[in-house]
Order: sequence, then structure tokens, then C-alpha cells
Amino acid sequence: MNITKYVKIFREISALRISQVAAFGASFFVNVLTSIISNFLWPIVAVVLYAQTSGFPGWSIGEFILLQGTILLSFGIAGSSIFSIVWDIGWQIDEGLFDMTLLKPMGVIPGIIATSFNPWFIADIASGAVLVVTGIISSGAVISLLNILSYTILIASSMLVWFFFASLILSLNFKYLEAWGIFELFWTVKRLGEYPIDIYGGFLKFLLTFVIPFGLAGFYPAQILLGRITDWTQILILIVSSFVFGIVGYLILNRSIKNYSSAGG
Amino acid sequence: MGIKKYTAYIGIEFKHSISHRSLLIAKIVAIPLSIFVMVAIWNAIYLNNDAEIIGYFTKEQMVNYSILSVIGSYLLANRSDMELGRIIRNGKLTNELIRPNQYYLVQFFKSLGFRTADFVVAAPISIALGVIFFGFKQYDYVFTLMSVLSFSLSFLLIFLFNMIFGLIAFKVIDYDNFGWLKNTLVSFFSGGIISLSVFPLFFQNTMMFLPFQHMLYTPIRIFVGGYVLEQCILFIFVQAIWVVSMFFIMKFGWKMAVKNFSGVGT
Repeated sequence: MNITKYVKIFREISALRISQVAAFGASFFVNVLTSIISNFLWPIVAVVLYAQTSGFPGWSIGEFILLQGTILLSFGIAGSSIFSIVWDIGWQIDEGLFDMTLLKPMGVIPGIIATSFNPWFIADIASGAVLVVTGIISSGAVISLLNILSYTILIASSMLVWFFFASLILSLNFKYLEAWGIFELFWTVKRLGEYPIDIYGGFLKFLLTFVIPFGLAGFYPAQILLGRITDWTQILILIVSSFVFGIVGYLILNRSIKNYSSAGG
Repeated sequence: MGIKKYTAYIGIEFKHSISHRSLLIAKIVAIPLSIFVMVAIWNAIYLNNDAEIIGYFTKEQMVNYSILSVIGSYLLANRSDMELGRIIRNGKLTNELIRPNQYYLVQFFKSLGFRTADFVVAAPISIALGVIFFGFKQYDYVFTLMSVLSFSLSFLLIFLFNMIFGLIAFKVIDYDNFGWLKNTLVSFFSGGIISLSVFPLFFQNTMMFLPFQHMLYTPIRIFVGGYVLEQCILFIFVQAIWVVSMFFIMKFGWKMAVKNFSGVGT
């Protein structure tokens, strides 16, 4: 696989998408505003909740905001790159236009990933980063360089987790066409990972780590940044899990592409 | 007014929504799952809290509130503003205006039909699961009946508010982002994310003068026995006033918007 070719495609597409955004300046501005308001509503709710109650067991307000910021940051990065294949390719499948992608002189999956840049998620990345920093400051956590490094690695590997979910959604889209319901379900299940997953009990915590791994995108990176997970074996298991999900996602997507009928929906 | 020609849209939309099986199945799974998330959150919070009452609600009431807020958010939602934005953008509103129908009445009955499918399929399953797994219960027949009346007014109120807000679509090219922003804010201010009773008093008092709390919070609070009988009657009366006021605002706004509509599309 010629990596340089795909990097070049990514660069070209990114420049093109940014110029598209510039052409719809007002729409982009409203979108950014919508994202920022939506992203900060839950932290506001958290502040209200923690003012009235003791909040979630084992999580101070700052730590909870850090957790919310982490999953937002992770999803924001994925949404502006690897996860946006869900919308791009989903639309192509519904319209019967995916043939065009198949005809391009590049590997199908590397190609759709290289063309996936989506600047509309920039507000999520910024909001996530602001919440993470706010969370660190208000929790008073002492963060070591090693924690930051492990956190960064976990966030990077969580992209494979989002790729796994994107592949899963797309595979259902290939099968059922115009499968809006799948999105409805995805957003709901994603909400499970937006809270400390230890509140759900042992079985669901296991499920959210090793079966529907939203924990790998929010809960565990936050735990690592807060210095609650220091055992390298544990961190390694989490990273390897993300890679396993990435490989499974690739295999699912590869198989689904082979079933594409080109009929549209 | 020939209401019969409009009620036909209920049946059409009902069949339409049933035919989208993937969406219906997803809702049957998504609603109980959302309920589970909310119940887990409140269980954890009450367990970690010394006081037995949070925002006027006991744990049992809060769990029931959460169950109804999830179901209510699904049943009361409608996309009439998004649909208006879409047909203005592609120029198809002209076709709608030529027909011998009032567009907003068509949209209302379509919304009713679309939600009927959720009402007869997804809602009973969710309530049954709520009863079995989370101890969802009915408090009092009188409050339940009043709550049903209040929910019906909420449906009207949300529809009218959406139609009024949707008039923005006559002025902008891409309405969708405005629609999402509105949905998020309405969900927050109507108590869809968290009960308004948990918020500080000044916030609750401010909400009294706005229509949002009557979109979800009022009917649910009536159901869980959060108001005495006189308060229930008063709030239902206030809801009715909001519905009538919004109807006239919507009619006036619609007349003005259509008058200036060019029908070009984008």
C-alpha cells in the first residue's frame, strides 16, 4: 500500500472541504454555535446536579467534566476524519453512487478513509479540549507527563474503536439502505459511554469495554489521565483491544463492500 | 373546514412509519436503552446522596419522571419545521400551496399519524419494561387522566412552536442547523434532559413565564403526583392559553411568510 499516495489524497480533500465550508460561512457558523451550545449543556447540567447532590460516586464535578470532555474530544477527532465515512459512504450507498468510489484507482477502504476529512466537527474537538482542560483545573488533579502520553495514545487508538462502529453502521446500511434507525440506536448506545461506566455494574462495564467498547473512548482515557490506572499491562490490554476492534471493523467493512449491489435505495 | 381530508393523512403516515421497520425496531431498542441510562444515572446519584429527596422528587418519582421523559421525548417530537425547511429549499412548497389544503394542518395530521405508530408499538413495550425492571407505576387515576390531557396539549404546543420557529426557513438557505439548535434548547428547557425541579429557584421561576416547561415537564410532574389538584388545573389552563396564543402567532406568521415567498428554491 502506497501510504504517500493516501496522505496526498487526504491533504487535497481536506483543502477542498475547507474551501467548501468557507463558501457556506453562515451555515458553518450556525453549525459551530449549535455544537458548542449542545456540547456545553451537559456540563451545565452536571454543575446543577453537583450543586444539589454529591453526584456520581467516586467522581468529583471536575473529573466528571473531564470524562465528558474526553469522549467529546475523541468523537470530535473521529467525526472529522475516520467516522465521517458513515455519512459520506452511507449517502453514496443510498443514492447508488458508491460505484464511483469502487472505480477509483485506489484501495477501497484506505481510499474512503483518506477522503473522509470533515471540518464540521471542529467545534466538537475544540469543546472537548476546553472541557478536558476545565476538568483538569477544577478537579485539581496532578497530571504527569507519562499520564498525558498514555492519554494521547489511548485517544489515538480510540479512533480504531470509532472505525469499528462506523464499519458496523455501514455494514447495516449496505444491507438495509436508508437505515436511519441504526443512527438512532447508535446515539443512544453512545450515551452509555458518556458517563462513568462503573455506575452500570460489572457486567455492563465489561460489555462497554470488550463488546461495545465506548469505554475505550472516554472512561479509560479519563481514568488514565487522572492517574487511576497506572499499571502498564492494563494500559496495554486497552490499546490492544482497540486494535482488535479496528481489525474486526476492517473485516466487517470489507465483507459488506463485497455485497454492494449498486441498486441505490 | 372538511377535517376528513386531513385525517386521511394520519392513516397514510401511520402506514409509512410502520413500513420503515429498521426505524421502528431501532426505537423499540433505543427507548428502553435510554430509560436504562437515565435510571442508572439517578440510581447512582441517589445512592451517593444523603438526602432522600432531590428537586422535590423521591428516587421513585425521579425514576418515573425519567422513564416518562424518555418516552415523552420520542412521542411528542415532530419534524414539521425540518420538513418545511426542506421543501422551501427544494422549491416544493409551491406545490403544497397550490393544493386546496392548509399546509400546517396537513403537517399536523402527518405528525399525528407518524407518532401513532410509536404510540401503539414502542411506547407500550417501553412502559411494560419500565414496570417490570424499574418499578414504573401509576400514582392516581385523576392525575393520570390530567396528565394525558396535559400531554395532548404538549403535543399541540410543540407542533405549533416548531411551525413558528420553522418560519425562519423562509429567510435562510439551510434551516437544518437552526432546527438542531432549537431541538437541543427545547429539550433542555422543557426538562427533557433533567427535571427542571433540580435547577435553582430563579431558573424555575423564569421558566414559569415561558412555554417550554409545558412541553414535557408539566405533564410528567402531574403524572408523578408532583402537583396538588388545584395546581394541575392551573397548569393545564396555562398550557391551553399557550396553545391558543401560539396558534394565532403561527397563523399570522404563516400568512406573512407565504405572502413574501418567492418559490425559487436553491
